[in-house]
Amino acid sequence: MSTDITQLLFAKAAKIPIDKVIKSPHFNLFEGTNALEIGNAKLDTGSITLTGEELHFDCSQVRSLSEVLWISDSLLRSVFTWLDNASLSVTVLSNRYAEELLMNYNTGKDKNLNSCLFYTSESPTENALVDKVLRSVVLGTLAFCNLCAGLAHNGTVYEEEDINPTAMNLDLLSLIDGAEIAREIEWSIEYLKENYEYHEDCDILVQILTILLNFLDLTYFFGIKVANGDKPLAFDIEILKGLLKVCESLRGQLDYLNKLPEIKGCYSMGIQKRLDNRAPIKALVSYKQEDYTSLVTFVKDMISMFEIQHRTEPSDVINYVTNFSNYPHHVLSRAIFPIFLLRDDGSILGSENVKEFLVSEMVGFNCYGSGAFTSENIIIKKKMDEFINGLTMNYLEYLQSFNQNSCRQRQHLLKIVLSFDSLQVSAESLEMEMEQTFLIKDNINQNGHTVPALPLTCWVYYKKLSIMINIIFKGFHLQLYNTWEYLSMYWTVLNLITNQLEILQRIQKHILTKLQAMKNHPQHVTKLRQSLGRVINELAYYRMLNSLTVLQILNLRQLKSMKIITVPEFPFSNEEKSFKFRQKSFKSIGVPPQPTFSDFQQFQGSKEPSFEEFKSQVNELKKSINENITTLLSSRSCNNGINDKQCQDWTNLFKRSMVGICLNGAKEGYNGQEYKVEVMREGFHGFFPVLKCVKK
Amino acid sequence: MGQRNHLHHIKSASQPLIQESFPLNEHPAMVQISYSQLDIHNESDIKALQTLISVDLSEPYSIYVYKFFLNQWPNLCYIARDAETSQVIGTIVSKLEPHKGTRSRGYIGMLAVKTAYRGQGIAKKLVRLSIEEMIKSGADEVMLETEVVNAAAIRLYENMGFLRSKRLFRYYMNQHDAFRLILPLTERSVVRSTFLEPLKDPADAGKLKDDMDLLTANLSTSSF
Ligand SMILES: CC(C)(COP(=O)(O)OP(=O)(O)OC[C@H]1O[C@@H](n2cnc3c(N)ncnc32)[C@H](O)[C@@H]1OP(=O)(O)O)[C@@H](O)C(=O)NCCC(=O)NCCS
Repeated sequence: MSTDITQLLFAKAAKIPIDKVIKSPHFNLFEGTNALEIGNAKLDTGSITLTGEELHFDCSQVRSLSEVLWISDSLLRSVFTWLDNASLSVTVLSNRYAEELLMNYNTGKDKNLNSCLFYTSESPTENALVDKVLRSVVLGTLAFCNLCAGLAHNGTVYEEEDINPTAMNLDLLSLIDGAEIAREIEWSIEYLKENYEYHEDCDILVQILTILLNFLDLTYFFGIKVANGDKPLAFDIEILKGLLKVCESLRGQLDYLNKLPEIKGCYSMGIQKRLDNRAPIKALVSYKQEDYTSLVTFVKDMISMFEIQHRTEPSDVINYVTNFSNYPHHVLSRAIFPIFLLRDDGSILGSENVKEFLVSEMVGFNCYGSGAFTSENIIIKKKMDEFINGLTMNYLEYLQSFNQNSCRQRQHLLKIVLSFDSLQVSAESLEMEMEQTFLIKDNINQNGHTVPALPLTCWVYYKKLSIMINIIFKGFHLQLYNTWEYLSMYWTVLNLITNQLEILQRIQKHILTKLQAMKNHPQHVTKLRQSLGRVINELAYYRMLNSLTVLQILNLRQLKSMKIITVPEFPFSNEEKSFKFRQKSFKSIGVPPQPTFSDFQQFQGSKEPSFEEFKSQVNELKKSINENITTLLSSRSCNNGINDKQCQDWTNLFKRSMVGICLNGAKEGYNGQEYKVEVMREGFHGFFPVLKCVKK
Repeated sequence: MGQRNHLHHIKSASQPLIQESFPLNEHPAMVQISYSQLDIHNESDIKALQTLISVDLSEPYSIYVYKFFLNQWPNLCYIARDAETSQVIGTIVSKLEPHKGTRSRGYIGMLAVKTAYRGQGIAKKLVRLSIEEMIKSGADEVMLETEVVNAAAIRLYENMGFLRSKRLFRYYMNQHDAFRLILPLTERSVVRSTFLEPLKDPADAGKLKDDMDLLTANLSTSSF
């Protein structure tokens, strides 16, 4: 039941004095800041003026094949400009055909395919190119938009900042079965081939229709099961590769497509006036901002996502996930990745559940043969189960951070690190209890003393440190630090890396002790050797980070002593406050203890190496970096058939940073009066931007 | 609001005025600028401030956004005037509120200086005035967001000790990422809010009066 309030509104409004703002007690002023304002030229969509072409645009007009191609191409490209941080109202929905069809569908009696029309009156003439072919393009496009909007609602990426799914209260054909739309598209392809075979535009239009047809099946791919050591999914990947070819060929036609004459009035801001719209006035985003590169990127992303079919070990999945987070991706791939990786049924890739996966990952790393996992004692089993359940929840959150945009990833990690810190405390007390009460002994020899190996605690600590190290390094990547902060940040991360190396060495020793003890049991030896291999690779990675960090620190100390980098004088703050602010993220963390500002000052005050010493240290560091990079490049993570090229490129960027730092850093005789630094990022690793000394 | 109309007259250290970028070339080399807190009853100043901001900032603000800031924290809004013409040529709009109930957080919402008057330290002065006022009201930190490509604003704030605490992905309507900048002032600012005691008296956080009182008071006198 609706009530007409027009008269009431006018009567009430007449009593409001002009130019006054009345605040209702039902909302606070902050809520008001989201309100739109009538009469405000930037906010009131009522003030949009339309051209004659827009006002009189006629969707029933007969169109030539070229015109239909232009509309189809611009519409498909609009989807990708939408996904590039625009809203639907200024991209896809600003297309008059899309608007009309959706309006008719949404207002139709029983929202079905029959109501998906461009116009409701009788068609003046035979109009198959518009009524059938163009219609199927619009149907396919909107169905794809519906899928994308659904992904945004799903919560794997952020609504608004990643994908803005607001569709002005229109349902994007969610009630129509994809198979029905597929039939329409297939009909159009047949029709075009029969009637326009020799027309140059026919092929391109068929390509567009083929892409849309493939997109209708996209969700099938999210659900494919990828079990450990399974048969490769050759057939599915061939389909995607075929799609990639079509997309690349379409991109190859770009010059031609860009020369097609535009149809005036076909894209319009009118929908912002006509429909429910809670947004300020927004200018249209031209479809030309997309050159089909993001389409190609997206399909390539999908193909590379399937390389996980070669997995045989838990570490393969970890590398795969880390690799995904290291590179920028199309937002759709980011939205799909976690759906593909972490299924609704709680499994990883449709196979083992997350908890099983986590246990196999821990056992495969440093917990092989640990009493904690092998004990038959009921109490221990129960306690372990509780602990692993808690760990699984946090681990899941950790896995869900990898597909986020680079800014969010760091924020997710900042939250997770606190949970890992408390998990470490629980792990330690659990293991101590197992040792003391249940006499489950798992020892190593540390400096001549026998000490508990604490494999669970070590694993959690190792993960926690890797998260902390990542948080600081990602800060460099996101350009969060000023150059005068570089020294303290690298110094802070060096402390963490040193701790990580200690823990990894302890783990290595533990595995070696076990290998010695089990040398007559070949099946154990194989497993332990695998674990050892992983630990050795981790050691190589952190040793490489360690040396590069020291290299950066040495250079920064030179730059500081030459006064090329100085800490500015601040009116309201100072270096100490800034230092503490940066340490705040980890302030509550017990181990490793966080360094204080006076520790940092002490370090800064320590004797600096002479230039000769500096040079010889640099040579040592370069040697260590190169050696460790060689180890990493020959390791499993770069050679398991899963995104190998990307892993290698990522590793090689560290080498480029090393070279960059050595070439551009401080040179003897430089000083702050003549020189300043510029930060160079392009071509270098994001964790190690290169500071270049340039003349002022 | 006792400090309203507390004028700061300073001589800006003038830079050579280049004709293109400074259509003020007919003015004497030293431009007198006066600074004052906003008088919430002065409609023409408010209109001038709105115009200035809508020309210079990329985000569109409704009248309600201005109301939100100006009515609740008029003491944190400053105006810079060309002393000769009395024309409003710069402004800063801010607020101060408890953050997660544990910290008093100042926020600089808008800052703009008319193009012809830029590069003379006017923004710097406005920011200082506003932050000093926040400190008086017990601010623990000051925050703001700015586009990663706004080199002038980033430099201005960083030279005052602001640090980039977060990068915000595609924060602005024009697609740019933003930095969240924070200026830590007290110990509270360097402890994660989870580990802080709640603020005792939210009024400490610098809110002048209850929203409602202020608004009713203003509605009866101002037609803004
Ligand atoms: C940003 C803005 C307010 C600066 O106003 P201003 O009065 O010219 O600034 P000031 O003269 O006080 O300059 C203060 C500092 O800012 C920095 N700065 C100002 N203009 C700069 C420029 N073009 N490039 C780089 N740094 C600049 C400098 O560090 C300067 O200090 P220094 O001269 O001692 O080095 C002004 O450019 C403006 O209104 N821009 C449009 C609106 C806007 O971007 N607002 C900020 C959004 S948060």
